Amino acid sequence: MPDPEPTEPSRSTGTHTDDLRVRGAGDRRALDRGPAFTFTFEGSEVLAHRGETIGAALLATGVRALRTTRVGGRPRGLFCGIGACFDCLVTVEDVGVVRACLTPAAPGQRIVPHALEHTLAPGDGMTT
Amino acid sequence: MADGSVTRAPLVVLGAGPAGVAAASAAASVGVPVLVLDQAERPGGQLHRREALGLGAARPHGLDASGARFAREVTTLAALPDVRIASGVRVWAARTGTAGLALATDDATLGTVVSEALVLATGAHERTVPFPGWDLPGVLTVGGAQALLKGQGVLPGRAVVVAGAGPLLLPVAAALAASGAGLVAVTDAAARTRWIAGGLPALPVPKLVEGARYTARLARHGIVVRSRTAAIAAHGDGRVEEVVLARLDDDWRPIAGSERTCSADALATSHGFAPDLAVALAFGCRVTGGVVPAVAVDADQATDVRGVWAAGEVCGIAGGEVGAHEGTIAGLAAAAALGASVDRRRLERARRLRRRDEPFVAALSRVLEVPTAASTWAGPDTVVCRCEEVTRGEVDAAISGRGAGDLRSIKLTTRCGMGYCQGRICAPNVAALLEAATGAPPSDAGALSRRPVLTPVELGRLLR
Repeated sequence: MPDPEPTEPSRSTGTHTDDLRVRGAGDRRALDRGPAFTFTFEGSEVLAHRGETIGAALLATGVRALRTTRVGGRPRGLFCGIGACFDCLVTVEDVGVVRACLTPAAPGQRIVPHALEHTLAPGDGMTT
Repeated sequence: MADGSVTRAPLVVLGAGPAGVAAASAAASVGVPVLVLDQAERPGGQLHRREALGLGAARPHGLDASGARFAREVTTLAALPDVRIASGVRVWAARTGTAGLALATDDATLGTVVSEALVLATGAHERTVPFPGWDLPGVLTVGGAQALLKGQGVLPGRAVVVAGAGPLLLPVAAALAASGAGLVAVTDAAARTRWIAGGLPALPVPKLVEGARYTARLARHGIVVRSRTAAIAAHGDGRVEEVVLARLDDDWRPIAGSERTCSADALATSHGFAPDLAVALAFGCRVTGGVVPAVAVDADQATDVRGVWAAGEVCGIAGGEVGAHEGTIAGLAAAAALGASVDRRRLERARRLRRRDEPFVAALSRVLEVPTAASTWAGPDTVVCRCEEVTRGEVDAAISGRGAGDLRSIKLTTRCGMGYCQGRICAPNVAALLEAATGAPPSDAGALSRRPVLTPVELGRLLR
């Protein structure tokens, strides 16, 4: 197999320096994003735009690990992206546990990684 | 299931992808009032996903021809007086009662939806073969990367490996390249010749042209798709930093010495699809198929449960066009059962279209087959059930050491499939391990996904 030309990956480590939002390239026209606001994840401010999910806003600003598993203590992030796998569980203060890939970000949300004792948000149901 | 309000409808269609919308359109066309329930914020399913409404995109993504056709169909459907499309609604329990078929929803106004007839068009999710590091943040499914890009306009990373198998691989890689993601490598686990071996004449020419177009688009970005190659490990401190690629033999066993490690900050990987059976199993519908089961239906798309029809990917992976044909049949058959006057010739025409799809569906299922030996990518310590963190070693031990001979025994011994995702992600992989160990697919297909409550739901709701 020919060498798969290694590329240097971005090294953002949750410090929100990198932004993965598409700015209009190729045949994907730029999304004219709505107003920006902030929420916090583990106390750090995260920038989001109206309509973005919590998971997309976090990933866009370089946060990949959303929680730690209860047995192995392993980090987990977005995996299936469509609400099937429940890997991306986070806890929104005063709301409960939600799937970051489905739940819209909102101004002022205080979000922390999911922990077992947190209560599920009403209706963070499933799939149909 | 008493949750305050009850909504009654003669016909409920669950899912608003190509199959669900076709079913609703067909039933509405013969005068049956339809309530469509869908979890997304607007119709489309996974195939016709659009940018999130709230983003307020001034210049939304261009729709391809089939997406535009679908959008027109939805507009026509939604304008009919007796049709209601309820978006953003999730179903958390389903059962047959004396009053009819009941779906408990998370929508306060709808409450429990009770109908005489139901078309299940719940679609499918992706299947990913486990390998060491597949649970690291930064590893996501190919469809997950697509949903992020199409729905949110966000790239999975700056240096992305796209590795897997199945029809999503090339379009998603091409879209990522066009959107400015740096593609480190694009690899297909299957051999290029599989399309011929799988029955090339059965595959419609447009599908082949489509594949060639994506390959050409990737080539314009300087990317050559490597076939018979897979991502078999991901490494990194808390997130993906390196991906190990390896050449595969015909059975998808990695060829020793062919491994190459490349730097990457994201890996998009999946190996086909698995029907979403949760609601069908809750109603007790019979499923068939060993490693990747699907709802069993007759020529009218009727399941073995009275009043329940099924259409689209939930009946087997066949794509949106076949799903739409099945939806039309299901919608007309359900309408006829409800007493509507259905032109038999119209139903027969719809059935004929579906029969004509059959060689394509059969070829596709051969092409999409994941060889059992792929289950050796996982090491003994690799998590197979991501929710309950059950390793391949534990599953193997349950099978060989403790004699667990079916999925149910594996579930009870290891907790595989007992977590949040209800076996959606692990079921095909546990079934493949069982098949690898015993030489036969599981006798109890669907057992990992069978549950009374379909989704994590707060206790108060159950007690109400």
